[in-house]
Amino acid sequence: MGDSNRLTLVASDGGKFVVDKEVVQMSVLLKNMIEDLGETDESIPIPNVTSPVLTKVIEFCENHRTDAARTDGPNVDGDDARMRTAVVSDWDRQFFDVDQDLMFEIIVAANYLDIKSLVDVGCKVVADMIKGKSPQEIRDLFDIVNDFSPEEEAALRKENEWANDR
Amino acid sequence: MDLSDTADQHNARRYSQRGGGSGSMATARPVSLPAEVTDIIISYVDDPGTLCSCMLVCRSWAPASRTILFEEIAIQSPESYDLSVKRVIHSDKFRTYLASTRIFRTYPDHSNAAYSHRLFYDIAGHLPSLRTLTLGNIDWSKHHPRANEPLLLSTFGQLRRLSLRDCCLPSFHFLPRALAAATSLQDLSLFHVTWPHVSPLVPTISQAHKSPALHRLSVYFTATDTVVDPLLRWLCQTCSRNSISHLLLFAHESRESYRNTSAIVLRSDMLDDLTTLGSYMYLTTLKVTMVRNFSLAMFPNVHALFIYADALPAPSYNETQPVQVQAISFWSTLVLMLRDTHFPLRRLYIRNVVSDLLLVDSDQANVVLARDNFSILQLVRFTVMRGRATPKSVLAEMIKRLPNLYSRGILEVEMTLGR
Repeated sequence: MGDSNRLTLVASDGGKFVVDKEVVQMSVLLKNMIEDLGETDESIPIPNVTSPVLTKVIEFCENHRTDAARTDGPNVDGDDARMRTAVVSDWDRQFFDVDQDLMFEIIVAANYLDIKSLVDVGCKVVADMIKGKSPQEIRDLFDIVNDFSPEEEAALRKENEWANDR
Repeated sequence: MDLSDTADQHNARRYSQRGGGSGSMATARPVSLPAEVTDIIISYVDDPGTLCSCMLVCRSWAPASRTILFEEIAIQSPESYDLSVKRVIHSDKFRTYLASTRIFRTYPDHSNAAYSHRLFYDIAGHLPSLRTLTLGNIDWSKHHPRANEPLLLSTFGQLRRLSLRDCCLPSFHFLPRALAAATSLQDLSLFHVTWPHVSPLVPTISQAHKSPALHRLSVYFTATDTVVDPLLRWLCQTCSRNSISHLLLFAHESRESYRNTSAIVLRSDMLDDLTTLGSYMYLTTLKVTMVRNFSLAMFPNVHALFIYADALPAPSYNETQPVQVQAISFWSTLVLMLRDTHFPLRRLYIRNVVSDLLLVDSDQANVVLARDNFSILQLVRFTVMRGRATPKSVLAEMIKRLPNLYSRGILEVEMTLGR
C-alpha cells in the first residue's frame, strides 16, 4: 500500500512522477478524476503531456500549492479588471524564462489539465511578449497566416482610428 | 525520475520527433495555441495599440480583440471622440461589442472641447453595461444644458462609479439631478468640480427619489471651492446618509498642492458604533485637512478630531510674506474651524504644524477652547514639525498662548523631524 497522500502521474512518454495529492488537486481535471476514483494506488495517465512539460507543471503547482486558499472571489462588478491588472511575480517570470515552444506547451498542458492560475500567468507573460508588436510580428510569433483581404484590413484600420490617441 | 534537465532536453527531443533530425530545427513550426487560450492572452493585453494589432492578426483573433478594446473606451482628443461616436458608438454593427463596455473615460487636454454639450446625448443608451464613467476637463457652463441632460445618467442602469475631474458644471443643481438619476451609483469622486454661481439653496428631492445610495464619496477641493457643504447637505436627504462607508475629503489650499498633501481618509472602521456604519452624521472620528471653508458642524457626533496642517504652504522666510503673517493665518483658520463646533469633542489633534507657525501673539485659540462645548476635552495634542523655532521656545510659547489647556493638564506638544 502506497502513501495515501501521494499519487503517481504518468506522462505521455512514460515518465512517472510521484506527487502530493494537494499539489495535483490544483488541476481541476485531476481533482475530479481523484474524486471519481476514490482511494486507489493506480497511476493516473496524462496522455497529452510530455515529461519535460509535466515537470514544469508540477514545479509550478508545488510552488503555488498554498495560493488556492487566498484566491480572490469573483469580481463583484463582473468585469475582469482585477485579472488584467494582476502582476506576474518574479518567480513566475523566471519560471517562464524558457524557449517559446516549451512556454506554449506548458500553457496548453495547463489548459488541458485545467490549472487556471498557470494558464493565467502563462497568458499574461505571452501578452507582455506581444505588447507593442505589429500584426505581422504577432503572426510570426504564433505562426498565423493572415486571412484578411487588403480591403478588410483597411476597413479594420479605419475602424480603429478612434483608439489611436491613447 | 530525475526531474532536473528534462526541460533543457526538451527541445532537442521534440524537434527530433517532428523533423527526424537535428537539422529540422530550422523548419520546426511553433506550437499552436487553442482558440480559448489565445482569447485569454488577448484578454490580458492592456494597451489599445496592441489590441488594434491583435484585431488585425487574423479573423479568429478579431472578435476577442474588439471585445477587450471596447471594454474600456478612453478618449483624449476631440477628433478621436468624434470618430468613436461616428464609427463605433452610433454604429449598429458594434452594438454587441458595446454591450461589453465597462469603462468610458474622456479627458481632453483643454476644457473647451466642442463635444461637452452633447456628451451625455452621444453616449446615453449606447453603453448598457457601463460601470465606470470618468469625465475630465468638461465645461458644461459654456452652454445651457437642456433640463433633461443630467437625467440622461438614468440610461446607465449599471453605473457604479462616477468620477468628475476638473469639470465645471452649469450650476450646483446639475450635480444632484444627475446623481439622483444614477440609481446604481455607489462610488462618486469629485476632483475640483466647480460651477459659476453658487446657489445658497439646497435642492430638495421628492420622497420618490432617494438615490443615490453611495458607498464611497471622495471630494478633492480647494479653499475657494464650495462643493462640500451643499453636496453633503443634499446627500443627507438621500439614502447615502446611511450607506456611505468611505468618506474621503481632500482639502487643499490650491490645485497645485493636490499631489503634495497626504490623504485624509474617513473610513468605516473608524466608527465606534457599527450599527451606524457609513453614516457620516454619526462619525465619531474625523480627520480633515486644515481649510477655512470646511464646516465641522456637518459632523455633530465627533469625539476625536484630527486637523492636518500638511496642506498649508511651508513657511517662507522672505520679506514679501513674513512667517508671522502665515502664523496668524494658521491660528485664525484653526479658530474658524473650531468656532462653530458643537460636538462633544474629547480629543483634538493638530498635526504636522511647522513650529514657526505657532509663534504668534494671539489668544484667540485659548478663548475658543475655553468655551463650554470644549469642557469635556481630555487631550489637545500638537504634532509639531521642526522649523527655525527651537522645541524649547515652541513649548514655552504654547504654554503662554494656551494657558487654559495647560492648567487643565491636557495640552501636549510633540516634536517631530522637519518636512
